[in-house]
Amino acid sequence: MNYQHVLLVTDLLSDADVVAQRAKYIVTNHPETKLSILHIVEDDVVRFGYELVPASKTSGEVDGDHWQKARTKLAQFIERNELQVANSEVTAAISNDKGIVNYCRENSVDLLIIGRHERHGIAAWLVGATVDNILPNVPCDSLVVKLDSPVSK
Amino acid sequence: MSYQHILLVTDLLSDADIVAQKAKRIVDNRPSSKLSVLHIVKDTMVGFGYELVPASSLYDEIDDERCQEARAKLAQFLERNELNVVNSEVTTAISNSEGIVNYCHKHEVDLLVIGRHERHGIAAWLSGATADNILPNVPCDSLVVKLDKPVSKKG
Repeated sequence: MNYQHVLLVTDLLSDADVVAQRAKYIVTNHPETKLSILHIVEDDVVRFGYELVPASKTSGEVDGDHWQKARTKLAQFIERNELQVANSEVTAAISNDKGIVNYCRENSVDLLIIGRHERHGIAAWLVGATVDNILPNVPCDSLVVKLDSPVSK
Repeated sequence: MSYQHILLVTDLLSDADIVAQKAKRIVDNRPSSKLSVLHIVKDTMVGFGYELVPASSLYDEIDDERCQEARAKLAQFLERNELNVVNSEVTTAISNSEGIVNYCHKHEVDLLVIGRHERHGIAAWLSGATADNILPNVPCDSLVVKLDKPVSKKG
């Protein structure tokens, strides 16, 4: 058996390169495995009547300042790590986990690679790691890469 | 970079073979990575005054029979999946997560391969998946293999 479609999820922070190297390790020597990269921009949420909707849905705006910035950073990230990617994408979602799970379902991903910062005790309980939230929901395998304490933006 | 020591944790139930195949895919063509297999037998606990203590601390042989059984099953499992392992081990521990995390620390594991059954909602909250409990504590990367609904022990 073999993985067909591997998805690397990245927050583009300084320690994202560690995760990228692991992804590279998984796909080398397996030419049939394609690699995609996803970065989630958390959307501004606006109230729309009784509902909360993502701001980009209403304005259709996907070229704002932080979008451009994220795209450039992603391109640099791919070049720096010498990754061969089939598809790299910046999407907006209300939350990180929602965006990741949706992408996995839509693109039939069979392996998800994601970093996990060290969080313990009350910190973990208040703002849990993204991985902990998505594990019960992802439709595929996941490789969780251990990172150190959270880094700043 | 490359993984040096990969640990496959297995419950030896009927769907463990899926996880074994994933582990095999990772080590294939990579002679520098060695593979170990671990199966945890849960300690029998006894009430001792106000405390719960593992029965094995009182009588040495208490878990021997279950360990023997598990060892035989583990041997079959390795043969069936054609795994080349440097070390296969059956250990007792108070809980699965305790046993796994200890092993990782002791043997400098850098990738842990583990299965995760589908659990949602209240079932997840009452008896969570082992994988969820160990993630905050393992000192290394982990590959979580998605499995279907929990299977029964007889399967």
